[in-house]
Amino acid sequence: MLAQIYSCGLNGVDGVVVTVEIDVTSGNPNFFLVGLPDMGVKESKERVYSAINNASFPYPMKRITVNLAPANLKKEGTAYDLPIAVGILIASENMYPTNLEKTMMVGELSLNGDVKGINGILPMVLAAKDQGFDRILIPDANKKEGGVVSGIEVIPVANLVEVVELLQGNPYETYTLDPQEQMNAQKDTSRVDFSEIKGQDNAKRALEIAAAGSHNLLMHGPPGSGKTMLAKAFASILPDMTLDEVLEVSKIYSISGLLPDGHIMSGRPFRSPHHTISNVSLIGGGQYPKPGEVSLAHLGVLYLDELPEFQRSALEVLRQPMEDGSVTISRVHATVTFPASFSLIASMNPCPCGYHQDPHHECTCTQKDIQRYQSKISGPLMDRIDIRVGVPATTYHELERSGEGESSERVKKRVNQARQIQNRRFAKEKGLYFNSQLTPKHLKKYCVLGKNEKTMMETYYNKMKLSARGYHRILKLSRTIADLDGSEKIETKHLLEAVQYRTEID
Amino acid sequence: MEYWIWMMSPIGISVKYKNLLLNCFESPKEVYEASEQDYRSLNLLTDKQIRTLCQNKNMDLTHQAMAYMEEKNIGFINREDKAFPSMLLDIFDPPIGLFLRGDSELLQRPIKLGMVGSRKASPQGMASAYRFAKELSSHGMTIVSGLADGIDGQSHWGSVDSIGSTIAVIGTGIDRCYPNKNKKLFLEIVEKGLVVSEFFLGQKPLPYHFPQRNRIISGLSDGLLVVEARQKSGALITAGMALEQGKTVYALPGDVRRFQSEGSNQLIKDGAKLVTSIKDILEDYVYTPETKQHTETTSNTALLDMVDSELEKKCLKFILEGYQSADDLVFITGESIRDINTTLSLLEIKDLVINHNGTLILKK
Repeated sequence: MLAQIYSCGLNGVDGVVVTVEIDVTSGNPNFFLVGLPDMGVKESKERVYSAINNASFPYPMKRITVNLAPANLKKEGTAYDLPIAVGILIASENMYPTNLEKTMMVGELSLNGDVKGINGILPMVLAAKDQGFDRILIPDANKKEGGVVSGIEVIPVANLVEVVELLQGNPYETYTLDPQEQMNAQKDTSRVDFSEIKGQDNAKRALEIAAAGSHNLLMHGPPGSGKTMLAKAFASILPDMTLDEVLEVSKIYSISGLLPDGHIMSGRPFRSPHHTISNVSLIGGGQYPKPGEVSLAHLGVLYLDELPEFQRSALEVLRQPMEDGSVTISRVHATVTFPASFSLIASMNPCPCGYHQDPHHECTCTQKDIQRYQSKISGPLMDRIDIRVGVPATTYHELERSGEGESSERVKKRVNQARQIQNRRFAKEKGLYFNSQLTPKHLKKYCVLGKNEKTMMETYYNKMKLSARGYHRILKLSRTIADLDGSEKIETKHLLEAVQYRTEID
Repeated sequence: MEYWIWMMSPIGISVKYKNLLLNCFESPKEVYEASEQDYRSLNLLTDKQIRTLCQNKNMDLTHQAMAYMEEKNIGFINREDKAFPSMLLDIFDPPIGLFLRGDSELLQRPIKLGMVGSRKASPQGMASAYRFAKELSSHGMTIVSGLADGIDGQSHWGSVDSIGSTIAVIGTGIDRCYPNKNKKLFLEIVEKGLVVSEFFLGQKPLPYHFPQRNRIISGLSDGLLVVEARQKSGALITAGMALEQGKTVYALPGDVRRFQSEGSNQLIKDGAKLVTSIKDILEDYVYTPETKQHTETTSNTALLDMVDSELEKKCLKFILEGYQSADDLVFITGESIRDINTTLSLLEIKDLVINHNGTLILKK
């Protein structure tokens, strides 16, 4: 007899409905699995056999053919164990299910018949909902992740026996979780707050501007001056994520199996890959493409500490996602696009040893080392970095300064306001959301300078030997500073503040 | 002339032996035409040196070089030319000749000051080098330096930004620029000043070239100003050479805790003239009443008069006192970082302060 079960596979960050067809006919006992399965899927044969036997169901000693449709999509992972086992039981007429055509099921089986957790539950549940399924069976271990989707019955299951019973019409329990509540409950308290950082007012202001206009930022200063702490605090002044954003980010973490304790992501991601990272793990890839760090930092912060220590090729591959907000990865088995819209916060020492031009430590680097170190981030990557700020070592007095600095909450408020102004301003421009995206053409329209401002900039331009590009960056920055100020026009003081964050230094 | 250029080309013997040969043979032409026997009879050169010397006896390279010099407008003077600076003849192992690019008139200028210092100087040191070079240049001095990174480069820039009376003595062939970073400066100097090299075209920046080049820097100059030098540095070697050659050595004092200044402070201890303003140097050569006035305008109180707003004054005052970053100023003035940054930009426009990678440096 033939059975048809609905299950789900993944393509990029989206779920794709896969129909599992099982045919059990008389013939020599044998098991055929077709439909472009990978090793993980092929091995399900053994797991399914043991799980059915150990759950005290009879395994048919017949010829079994399993087809995973659409047959042209490559299947990977262990999510098909459960549907195959259920399909065999149905096709061998050992169970009589109800409402099967509106039910989707995913899950891995262990040899004793338990259902185990898998990656990518969130996109699968969302796909099931979009495709009009009534209910979806997911592993119990993944319930916190699947439960946040409303509009579909999410049924966590622990073992095969339970599945068989509920499919035959036994009562079952669904699981729902209010995502908003979960987001609030999990309010990240471990994050660094702005008020915890003593001194460093300059860097803090630069981060505020970066957050407001979504500018990329480079910090440089000696080791131990607090660059990493500042970068961590940056995530705390970014606007709160909306529910859609939470789901978008959680999907990426779900398919990578990185959700914290199986919960959805509640705060903006902060990724800080080590500088020995390979191109593939930075941008994503693998035989079946997996998201890389740029995608894991989607809608959050990608912090590259010691920027010049990264492989040059790794820095080069950053250019496409920084430009497009997404990465496209082509491999033999699939071509997928992962979202990758992140704020880049980078830091660097002045030289490999860290003490170039430090008055109290001798720098041990040769001139060549320093030049090689500094020239590593020149060119196209530097073009995408709008803000450069020095982070000097904090003095003792600043550490002991009494009184708290401004809290992240207050800074965030200003950032939110500036973002709203930008949203209103760019409402009619397609694909334009932030000041950092302004092109020279837009600058003419949105960054108009008055007469005084123009003269001032001219003096400065000549004095500082700026390039045209450097000039544009200053205009963009002053636009953001004016937005933070709630000012319609870019005034002299905004320009004057912006030039202190210029990226061209001698 | 071609024999002179041949003498300059790499013929397997050092400047020292070239000098000795010239003493024996009168002119390069005779050196070229002498036979192997002649060399042997001098008892001067080793067999190996004689062998390489004889192997190199053809003019191909020389003619190539001359064609190249013609094309690229590279000049050459040998030590018997009238234009050859006589001061250079007095030094130990004087160069056979010099390749020149730019305004060769500068070699004849009356007062030349060598400026040397660390390649990895502090931002303050670089700013001082720039300022001194600029002001001295505008008072008619010619600045001689080595086109290296750091102090050298800033000294040249200072002079180029003034009237451009600067001589760069380089440690490579004159067709190359080392370090590459200074390419723009190199071209500026070719345009406005003079680049000099005793090394043959195409010579690489080999380590031993630089001490050799330093003797020309000190040899060309009437005095030598050491801006910032650490213990055991090339700048101190140059200062030593200058003393051997009987030149005055000036040194700019530095913070005692700053290791970049250890060498120059040591020089002062050993008797070099301490310099705090250009007047200290100028007074040794010329009497210029305006000089006095000039130094007055850059005194600290006068500086404070150059700014208008209260905050600018406050910031400038603290920078003069040694506060170095915007964060320091926020801390000490209690103003917001926004106002401080705005003020710093104003000070930058007025050319009083420069923000160098987050360190505030006085530019006066």
